[in-house]
Amino acid sequence: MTYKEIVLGQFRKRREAVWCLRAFVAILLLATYAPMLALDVPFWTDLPGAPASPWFSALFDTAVFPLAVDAFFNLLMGTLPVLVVLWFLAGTGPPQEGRRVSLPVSAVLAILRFLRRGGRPRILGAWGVLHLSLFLWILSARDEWRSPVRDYPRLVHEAKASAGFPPIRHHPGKRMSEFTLTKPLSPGKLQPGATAPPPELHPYYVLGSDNLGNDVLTRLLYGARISLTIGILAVAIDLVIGVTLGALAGYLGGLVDDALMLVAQAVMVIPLLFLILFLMSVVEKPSIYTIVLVIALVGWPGIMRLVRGEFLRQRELDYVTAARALGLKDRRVMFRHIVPNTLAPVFVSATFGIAGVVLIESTLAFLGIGDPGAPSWGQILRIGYENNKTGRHLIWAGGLAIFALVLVVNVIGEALRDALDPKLRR
Amino acid sequence: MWTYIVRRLLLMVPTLFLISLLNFAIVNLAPAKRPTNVSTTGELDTSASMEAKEAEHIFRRTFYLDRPIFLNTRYSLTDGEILWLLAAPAREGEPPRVRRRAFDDLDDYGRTIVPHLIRLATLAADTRETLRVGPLRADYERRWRDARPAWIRGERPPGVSAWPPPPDPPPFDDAFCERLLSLAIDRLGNNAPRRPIVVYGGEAPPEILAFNREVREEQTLLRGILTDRKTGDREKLVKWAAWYDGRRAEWEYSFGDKVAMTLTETRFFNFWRNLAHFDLGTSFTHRKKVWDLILERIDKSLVLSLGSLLLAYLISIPLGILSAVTHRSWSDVVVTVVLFALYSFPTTFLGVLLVIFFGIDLKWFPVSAFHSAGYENLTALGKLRDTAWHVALPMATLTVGSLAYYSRFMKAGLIDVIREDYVRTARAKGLSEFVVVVRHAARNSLIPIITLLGASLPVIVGGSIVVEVIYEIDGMGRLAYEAVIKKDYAVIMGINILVAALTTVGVFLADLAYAVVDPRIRYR
Repeated sequence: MTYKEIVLGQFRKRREAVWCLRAFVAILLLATYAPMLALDVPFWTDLPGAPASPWFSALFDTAVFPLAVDAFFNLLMGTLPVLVVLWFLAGTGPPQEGRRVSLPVSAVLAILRFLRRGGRPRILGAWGVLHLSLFLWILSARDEWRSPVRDYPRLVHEAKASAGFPPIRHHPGKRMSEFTLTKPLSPGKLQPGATAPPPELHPYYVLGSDNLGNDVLTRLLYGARISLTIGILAVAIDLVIGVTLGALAGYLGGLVDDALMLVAQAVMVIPLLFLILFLMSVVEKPSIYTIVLVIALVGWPGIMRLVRGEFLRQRELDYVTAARALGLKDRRVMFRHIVPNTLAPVFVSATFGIAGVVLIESTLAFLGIGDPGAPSWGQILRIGYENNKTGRHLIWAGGLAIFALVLVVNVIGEALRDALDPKLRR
Repeated sequence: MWTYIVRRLLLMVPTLFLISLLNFAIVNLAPAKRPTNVSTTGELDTSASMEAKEAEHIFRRTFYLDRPIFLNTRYSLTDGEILWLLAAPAREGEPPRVRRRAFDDLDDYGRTIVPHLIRLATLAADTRETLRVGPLRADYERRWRDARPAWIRGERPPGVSAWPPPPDPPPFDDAFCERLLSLAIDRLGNNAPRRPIVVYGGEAPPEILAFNREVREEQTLLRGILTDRKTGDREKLVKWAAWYDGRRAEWEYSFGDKVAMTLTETRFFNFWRNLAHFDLGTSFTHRKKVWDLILERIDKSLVLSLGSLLLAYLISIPLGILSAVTHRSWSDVVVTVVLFALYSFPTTFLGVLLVIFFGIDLKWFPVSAFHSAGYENLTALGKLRDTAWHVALPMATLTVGSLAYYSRFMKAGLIDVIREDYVRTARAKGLSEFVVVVRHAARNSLIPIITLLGASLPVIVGGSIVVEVIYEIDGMGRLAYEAVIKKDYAVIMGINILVAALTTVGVFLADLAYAVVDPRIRYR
C-alpha cells in the first residue's frame, strides 16, 4: 500500500468525515450551480423583444452579476463537467489506436492521449489553464456584453408569455423596496403599507426576505460563493507565503531565521481580529479582494512556523544530505525534496485555516466592515440582529449557514489530521 | 533560567519595535490625510464645520502630519518652489486636485517659508523688473513646461486623440504681480502666526503654558496687520517686513540647526519620541487623550477576557478529565460531539442568540452596558452581583469557543498520560481511581494545556471585539471597533500597541509558567 492509500483508508474509516466531505462537495456544487436554482432570469421565454434564452447571456452580464467572483463560478458551471469527464477518462485504458478517424477527431484523441500520459496532475493543470484563461477573457470582454436590465417575472406575467424560470425566481441583490422583511414561506406583507408581492411575480420566499426585499435563500446560495472564495483564496495565499518563508527560515537558519521568526512573532502577538480591523481601516473601499489580502497578510505565521519546524527536523536527514551530495542547488533541495515531505501537517493546518477564515470573514461582515455589495452570510446575520424583533429568521439562516460550513470543514480537518497521524492508526 | 528571562525580555524590544513600525506605516498609509468629521456610517462629511476643523487639527498634530516622513530639509526650500506653489490659484486649467495639493503643501510648510514669502512679496510689489528678467521667471517657466502635460492628461476629454497645444506660460505682467502680492500677503497671514497648543484632558505643563502666552502676545501684535481691511497689500507688506526684520534670526539656520531639523522635525522621530514618553496622542472623536480613554475602558475588557480565560480553564479541565476517564462511553461521545460543535460555533451567532433569548425574550439578563444605573450607590457585594449579572452573557459567549478547544486538548493529553507506566504503578499500589487520575495523571497532562495559555491570549482579546459590540460594553474592543469605523487613527494605534504589549507580556508569563510546572524543561 502506498502512503496515499493508507491515509485515504484511514480517512474512510471515519464515517462522519466522509459525510462531511460529501456535504462540503454539495455546498461547493450548490454554490457553483446557484444560478440554475435561483435567478430571476428565465432559461427560455417567448417574450417579444427579449432573447429566446436570456439565462445564458445573463451569466456573464455585469448588470446581473457585477462581481467577478460570480462570473468565475458561472464559468465553473460549464467547465466543471469537462474536468469530471477528463478525470475519469484518465482512469480508463488507452484509446484504441489504428482506427482511421477524421482529422478533428484524431486531434482530440491526440490531446486526450497527451493528457492521459501525464496522469491526473496534468489533467488538473490543463483544466486549470483552460478555466483561468477563459475566465480572464470573460473578465476583459464582459463590460461590452451589458444588456438592458429587465424584470423578467413582471414582464412575463404582464405579457402573459411563457417562460421557464429556475425554481427560485429571485435575484440575490436586486432591491425591491416595496417588499420588505417577510417571514419564511410567506408572500404576504409584514410592515404596514407594504404590498404583498403577487405569487405570480415573485413566488414564495422560502426562508423569508431581508429588510431590502431580497430572498434569503437566494442570498444564502450566492453567499456560499463569497465565503468559499474568501476562505480558499486567503488560505492559498497563506500557504504560498508560509511555505516559502518557513522553508527559507528552516533551511538557511541563522540570521534569516531569526529575522523571519521575529516578524512572525510580531504578527502573532497582535490579536488577529484587532490586526485585521486595523489593516481594514487603511482600505478605503473594502471589497472581497482586499479582505482576502488582509486576512492572508496576517494568517501566514502559523503555517510558516509549522513548515520551519518540519524543516529543522528534516534538514539533517539522510535524504537531504544525499540530495545535496548530488550537487543540487539549494532551491531545488528545499522545494523539490523537503517541501513535499512537510506538506501533510501543512494541509491539515490549511483545512482548519479555511474554517477560520470563513469565521473571520463572517465576523467582519457582521461588524459591517465587509464588502457591502457582496451577499455574505455574516451580513444576513447582521441584518437579523439589527431587526431582532422581526428578523429572527435571518439570524437562524445566516448563523446556521456559517456554522454548518465551519463545522463541515473542521470535521474534515480533524479526520485528516488523525488519518495522517501514525500513532492513531488502527 | 535567568538568562532565559533576560533574553526573552530583550527579544520583546524588537517585537514591539516591529509592531510600532507597522502602526507608523498604517498611519502614513491612511487614505484620509485631512479628515473632516466622519459620521458613524463612515461617510465623509465635507462641510468643514468648526468641529471638523478641530478634529483635523488634532489628527494632524497627533501624528505630525505636516512634517515630512523621514528627513526634513525644508530649510533648503527655494524661492522658485514657493513661487510655483503660491501662484497655483492663478494657473487656469490645472486640475483642482493639484491646486489643492499646492495649497496643502504651503499650509504644511508653516512658519518655515516666511522669509520666502516676504522676499516674493517685495519683488512683486516693488522690483517687478527683477522678477521679470531674473532667474525666478526662468525657473517658473521650466516648471510650467514640466507640469503642463500632466494637467492635460488629467483633463483630456474622452475620444480626443491629439494633445491640445500647451498654453504659453503667463507673462509676469502687472496683473500677475498684483495677484502674487495678494496671495503672498494672505499666505503670510495664514502661516506666520503660531498657534497655541490645546491640551486635552488634564493640566497643561508649564512650558506649554509659557509657549501659549508667547503665542498670544505675538497674535495681539499681528492682529493689527491681519484684521485691517482698509489698508492695501503694499501697506500690509511694509508692516510684515518690519515685523520680520525684528526676528530675522529665527530663520537663520546654523549647520547644527540644519542637522537637528533634518533628523528631528519629522513624523518618524516625533512618533518614536511620543511613544518613548508613553504619549499615545489625542483622539479626535472623543477629544481626549488616548491613554485616558484606554484607562477608562481597559478594566471592563480585562474582566471579560481574564474572567473568561479562568472560566474556560475551570470548566474545561474537569470536563476533559471526565471525558478521558469515560473514553468511548456514550457520555464521552455526547460531550465530544457537543464540544466539537461548540468549537465550530461562530461567536457572532452565539452572541446574537444569547441576546435574543436570554436578553430580549426571557429578560433574564441585561443586554447592554457593564453596570446598572446607580451602580456607585451599591455596596461592595451589590456591585459584584451587578457586574456578574451584566457580565454573564458576554462571558458565556467569549468562553464557549475556547472551552471546547481546551477540553479537547486536556482529554487528548490525559489519554496519552493514562497509558504511561507510572499510572499503572499507581493503580497497582491499590490507590483509588480518583487519586490515580487526579493526583497522578491529570497533573502531568496539565502541562500542555498551559502552553495554550500563551497562544490563546490574543484570540481571547480579539474575541472581545465581537462580544463588546454585540453587548454594547464600553471596553477596549468596542473602542477599537468604533475607531476603525470613524478612522480615528490615534485610538487605533494606541490600542494596537497596548494590546500587543499586553499579549507579549502574557505570552512571556505563560512560557515562564510552563517552566515552573514542568521541571524537565530547562530554558537556555
